[in-house]
Order: sequence, then structure tokens, then C-alpha cells
Amino acid sequence: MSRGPLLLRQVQIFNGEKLIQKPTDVRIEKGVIAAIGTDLTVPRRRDYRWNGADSGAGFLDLRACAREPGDEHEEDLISLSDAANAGGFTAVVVNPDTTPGNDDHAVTELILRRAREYGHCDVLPQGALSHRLKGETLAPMGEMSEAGAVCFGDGDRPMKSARLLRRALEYARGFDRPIFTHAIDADLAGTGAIHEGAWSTRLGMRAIRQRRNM
Amino acid sequence: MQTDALPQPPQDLPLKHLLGLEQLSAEQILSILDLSTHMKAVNARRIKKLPTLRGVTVLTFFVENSTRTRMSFELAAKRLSADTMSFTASSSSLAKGETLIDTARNLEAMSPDIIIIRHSCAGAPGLLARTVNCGIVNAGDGSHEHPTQGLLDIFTLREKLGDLKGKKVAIIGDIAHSRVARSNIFGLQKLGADVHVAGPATMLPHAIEELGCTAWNRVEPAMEGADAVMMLRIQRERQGNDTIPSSHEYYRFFGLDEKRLKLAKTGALVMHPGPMNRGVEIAPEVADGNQSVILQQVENGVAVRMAVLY
Repeated sequence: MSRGPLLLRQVQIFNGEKLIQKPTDVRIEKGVIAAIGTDLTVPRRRDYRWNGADSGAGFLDLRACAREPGDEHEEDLISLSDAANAGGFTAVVVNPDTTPGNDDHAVTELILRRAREYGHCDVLPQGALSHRLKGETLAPMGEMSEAGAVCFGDGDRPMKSARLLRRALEYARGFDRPIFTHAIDADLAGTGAIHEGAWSTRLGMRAIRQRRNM
Repeated sequence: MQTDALPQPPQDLPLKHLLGLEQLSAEQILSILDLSTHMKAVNARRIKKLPTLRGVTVLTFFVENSTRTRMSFELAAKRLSADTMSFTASSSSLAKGETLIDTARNLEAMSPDIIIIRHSCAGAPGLLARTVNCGIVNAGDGSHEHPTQGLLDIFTLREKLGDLKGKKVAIIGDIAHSRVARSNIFGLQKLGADVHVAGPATMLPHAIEELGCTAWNRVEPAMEGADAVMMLRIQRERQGNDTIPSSHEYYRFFGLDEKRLKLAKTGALVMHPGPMNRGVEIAPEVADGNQSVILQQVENGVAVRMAVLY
């Protein structure tokens, strides 16, 4: 994205645990932090004075719906990565529930190729856990891992089968990939739209029963 | 008939039953293998017959499908001059609802000397051994043991590699459902071999390391420097199809092709208990290649089974 060095002057750095109050300069070269210190210099046009703004590693969104391929009228990788950038997210895990679903290495490769072409942020595909995201048989996680899938899950679809989830957890171990699950029991949740509690009762909305209420 | 070269069964043989290799000592295994060498020589003769079991009745009782094991046992019995009868599940009283024990007692009433049983339930041969008085030979019980397959595999390995002490043997595939794997794990370790098992974690049973072997969920570390590689069949009939995504992906990551075989020692042996799924667990060029001893395993099966019945 960026060509030539860039200087963020007088920022407060968030180091992942806490904000370091003392204003500091950060010089970025070829997209990588090259120096952190005081009184750093770069050519004038690339010198940004922030006066106490916060700076830190980019955020990672673990769950985003890219809708590309297939439903680009809702969202595509350009709009997704622009939105991510605007919010300080530099990497986004995209759900596999696209059309077709990302349950095959060819789809994984397509997503990554498109994301590279746009190049606005790191797009990390979540591969489908099950074939066609139906929750019945395992998807080819090995081939998708090789293609660049970073984790596996069926996106927003809850696992119907505990047995398949167990198999997926075992199988993914061989490829050193985590499993993401949508932690909800579809049967119990039904068409609920809100956690069950005083507010669901007050608003008269269909509620999703939670374990602690049972 | 040439019987002069044959030895008497050693002190620790004959065993009354052969239920598994887990119960055998290294000495007992070696005694059976030594005897198998003599039996193999008999099988190389023009007249392949010994009078040893004349008047002895051997019954093959197969409650699960089998082609080569049943034929191999029947041939072994016939070469030792035994009278053989066979009994299969589909044509039997078991299909009419009789219990296994009742069937076995009825068979025993016909005075067989040895019953060779294959059953889909682990422990069925052991149950029979406790129920009837004749000798029981396990020809495969569920996912538990297949001792004669283990013995013939070990026999084949010793023929090619000599003493197995310190030799690395990789067993690859569906370990969870494989009785061949269990018999080999027990038998090979008794003879000092270093046994490694590998497969997707969905096919590795819980706590397999407690049997003494090393387990991997990728093929490569198991293959590295191995003296022999034993590929197991993907047994679709024994499991739901939820352990692997597809045969294609299985072959890609766990199948034995020429490239993967290069990780093993030069000239490492390639084994398979059959029946093979070409292009699923093994590439045709490896199965038919010059490192393959798959057909020798079948040949040795008859000799080993003769030794077991002897």
C-alpha cells in the first residue's frame, strides 16, 4: 500500500497490554515498523503529527462475513477491507458461508487471490468444517490448509452433530489449525433473537435460552 | 511324502488356542515362525502335503466376510491332511437367531478338533475358548486382533530384515479399526521392533501410546528412516464416513506414493494386509514396485497358518 517511509509523530503506543503514556515517534518502512523513538525523521510529506493519538498493532477481526464469492451485492472483499481499515483492523478472518461455500481449496485460493489484488488488509479465510456446510461430513481441511485457510468452522451455522465436531477437532490437529464453532444449540435457540431475560420478556421478543436459566 | 526334515513342535508349543499375539511370549512367536520356515519349504515341494493332521477335523467358522484368510486357513489345513468344514454366517443358524454360544456348542457336538473363527465382535474367539473344549484359532475379531496376519507379517519382515531388534516399522492408516495393527503392535514389540503408527487423529484410537508404540497424526515422521512401512486398508464398512473428508484428501496426505516412500530407508519394505484400495492408501506403482512384499505376505500366510495348526 505505502511506498517510502512514513512517520507517526508523538503517538501513544498500545503494546498489547497497556497504553504507554509518553509520546513517541514510530517510523514505518515498507509496511513494517522500522524504528520507535524520539525525533525520528522522514521526508516532509510523509511526516504525520498525531499529538497524542493512540497507536498499536492492527486489530484482528476473528469473524467477518465477506459474502464474496457469490453475494457481492451484500458485501465484497473491497468494501469489507475498506471498512476494516477504517476501524483499525488490519486482518480479518472471513466466514466460509459464501456462495459457493469455502469448503474446497479452489474457493480458498480464489478468496486469497482477490484479497491480494485489493490489498487493503490481510484476509484470512476460515475454511468450512463440513462439506457444503451441512454439518454432516468433514470438509477437506488438509487441502484448504495448504491453500491458506487459517481455521475451520461452519461460520454462523451451529454444529448439529457433537460427533462431527469431535472428528473435526481431531482431524484439524494434524494440520495444526483451530476449530471455530458458533456456540449455540440450533434446536434450543429456535428462531430466538435475544438472550432470554428480563429484556426479552419486557420486549416480547423470542428469546434464546441460556444455560444458566435452565 | 517327504517328512524327514520336519521338527517336532517345540516345548512351548502347541498352544491350545491362538487368540492373540498379546498373550504370546517372544519365544512362542519365534517358535511358530521357525516352524513356518519348514512349512514354507513344504509348500515349495511338488507334493505339498504332510500327514500330520490326518484324522483331525478343522472347522472354519466365519461370521464375517473373508476371502483370503478363509482360503489360506483351509489350504493350510488341507496341506496338513486335516478334514475341513466351513461354516459361514449367511447360511447358518446364526442368521436364524441362535446365539454364538449355542451355535458353538452345536458345532462342538460334531467333535471338531480346531475351530477357526472370524467374528465382527472383539472377544468372540475368547468367549468360544471358554465355552468349548476344542482348540480355537482367532482369524480376526472385530478391531481387536488378527494374530495369524500379525505372525505372517512378522515372518515376512524377518525373512527380509533378519532380527527385528531396533528396526523401525511404520503402520499407517486406520489404526482405530484395525485388528492387523493391534496384532502387529503386540507382536513386533515383543521382538524388539520400534513401532510407529500414523494416520489422521480421527483414526488413531485414544491412548494408543500406552501399547508402547509412538503415534503421529502426520505420515512423514513415522515414515522417516523406517525399515518397513505397513499400509492399512481404509475400512469404510467399519465406520461412519466421518473420519476423513474424502478418499482423495486421504491419499493426498496419508497415502503411500513414491515421494513419501523416499522418506523411509532405501529399499524399505512395503507391506499391505489386503485387500488394497489403489489410489486411496497406496499408489499402484508402489504396490507393484520392487520394494513391495505384498504378495509374499499372502504366500507366507499359508505357511504360517500351517505352523499354527501343526
